[in-house]
Amino acid sequence: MGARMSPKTIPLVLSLAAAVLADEPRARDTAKGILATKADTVVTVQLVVKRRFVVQGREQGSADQKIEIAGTTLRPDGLTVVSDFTSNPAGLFSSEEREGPKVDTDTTDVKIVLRDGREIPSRFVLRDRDLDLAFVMPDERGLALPSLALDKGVVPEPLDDLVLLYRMGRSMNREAAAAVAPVRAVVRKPRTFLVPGFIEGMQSLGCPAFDAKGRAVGLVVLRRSPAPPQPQSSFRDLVDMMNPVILTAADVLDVAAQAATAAAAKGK
Amino acid sequence: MELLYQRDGQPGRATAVTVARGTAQGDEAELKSWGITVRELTLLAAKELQREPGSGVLVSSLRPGAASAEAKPPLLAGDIIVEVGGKPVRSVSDLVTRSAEIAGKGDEPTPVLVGFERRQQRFLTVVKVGDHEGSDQSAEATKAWLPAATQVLTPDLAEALSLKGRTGVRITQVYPDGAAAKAGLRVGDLLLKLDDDAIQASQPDDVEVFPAMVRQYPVGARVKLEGFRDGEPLTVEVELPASPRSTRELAEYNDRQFDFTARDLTFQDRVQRALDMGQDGALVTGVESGGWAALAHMAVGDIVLAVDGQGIASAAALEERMKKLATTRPLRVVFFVRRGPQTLFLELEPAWGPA
Repeated sequence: MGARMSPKTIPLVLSLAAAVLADEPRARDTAKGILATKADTVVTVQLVVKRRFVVQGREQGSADQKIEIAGTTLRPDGLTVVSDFTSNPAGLFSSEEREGPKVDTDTTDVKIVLRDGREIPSRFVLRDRDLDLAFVMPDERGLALPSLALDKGVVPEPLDDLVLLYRMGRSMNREAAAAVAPVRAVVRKPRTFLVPGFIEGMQSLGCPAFDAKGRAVGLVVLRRSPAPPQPQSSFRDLVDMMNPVILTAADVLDVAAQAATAAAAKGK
Repeated sequence: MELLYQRDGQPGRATAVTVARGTAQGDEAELKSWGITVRELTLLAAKELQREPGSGVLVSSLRPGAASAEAKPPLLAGDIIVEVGGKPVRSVSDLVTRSAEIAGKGDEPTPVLVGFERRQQRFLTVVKVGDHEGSDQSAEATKAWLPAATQVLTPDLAEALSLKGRTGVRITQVYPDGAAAKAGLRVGDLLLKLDDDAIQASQPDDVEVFPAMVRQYPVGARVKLEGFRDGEPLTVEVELPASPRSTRELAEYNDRQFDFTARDLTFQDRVQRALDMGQDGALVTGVESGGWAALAHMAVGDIVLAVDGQGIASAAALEERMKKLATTRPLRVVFFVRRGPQTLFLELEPAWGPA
């Protein structure tokens, strides 16, 4: 009853499997090292999301919710990047251009929570909704926090192993975690994205990805289709609405430089 | 005044002394640092509420998201504020005085204990009184953009233009001297593909689809646009420049003396108003009704070009100028503004508050 594999395909699959198996111990060793040495660079960001539900221009109720998300500290002064989507999931369902109910959101009481439980009052300094990046900067100056140096210019290839470092939620004591997963695809346009597995990617939003040599190659973000779903959308179109991808280090660093400038301007 | 009456069939006589009826509702005052408007408890209003006149201040409206609305529990319209910071509040002037004392303590909002009555119950809450910035003041990253405006190619439009079943956008404006103009794009060009990807915009709601596709590219990327011009296939390559600053990124200057707000001009402001790209000034974005600016007929959309003869190049320059005037306190202040194609002088004789 199962699908038959052509004789030509069998050697290719076997060689791929052999390659994966050969690399697996190495990636796992790398993951252990990353977990031991880089875990403190992945932090918890706590914030209060204020939502106002607006129908035909009139407020129809509001709700405040305290949420925790994961972020990656990129500089010792505490500049931390998160997935914009995770900091404001309701933004996905609200658009200024579309008619109908809207959800206005605001974020307050932003804190970076370190592994030792220390809470650092912070604020959002820059957002890039298209790339799903949001940057948080501590209010306090002169901090020296553990930070991760991203490796510009390293782009793994399809089926290369990746190590995803992430931080779990409160029920798991905000413990750091790691997963080893292959690159499923490399998308080159409109810019370069690495595609990890869906589940590994979704649990690592805002967190770094490393190659098998332990180089930080990028950050896991959510890529959304620019076109809204239509009634006639196929299942693949619907799935395509939200894909976790790894934005390359070069792109993250480009926007991080703008965030640092914006933070400096606010600090004047 | 003598009154004769009957009660249980028996005549009676009484004497009453009339008093001034007064207004049903007291004058309304706005407390911006609280985000509320309040009214005096007049004799009639107090009777309606079964209270004594001067036994508190009636909250008449709240601004959503402001300090009083964000208090826990929040104040509501109809509440009677009776106490602030441990001191009784009997009138609007009491509340204004207390607010001024609190606001004078620093730049940050000050939490203050507020006693209020609601449906015969006495509540306490904490209101953070003061100037509240919008909480999330984050800037926006610089993005790639195509310096042109577009409209969605709806199914009806596509059919009328002999492109039935196709999706995309139609160029409605090409910004002067921009990359789109330099690449040869023109008003009326129909764009259906961006780097071989179909532009899936077909409903008016899809207005953001094409700009969002463009924003996915890094600044400086060279992209291929395909479509039609005058019924003929069109292919154009464009290098995407960095987008100009958006309105959201601009700081707004709020003038509390004259009750108006203004900000810098953006690229879009200049395009939409057909202004020269070198046009300076501060764009008026809000005018409070009843304020001095409103009395001088300042209007939203005016561009302040000068104040008392001194040129204004930006919102920051306007703020600096207005702060200086607040110290010199001239009898008259003259704003020179641009409104559409006209320029106007707006003259004010403000009542400067206490120094």
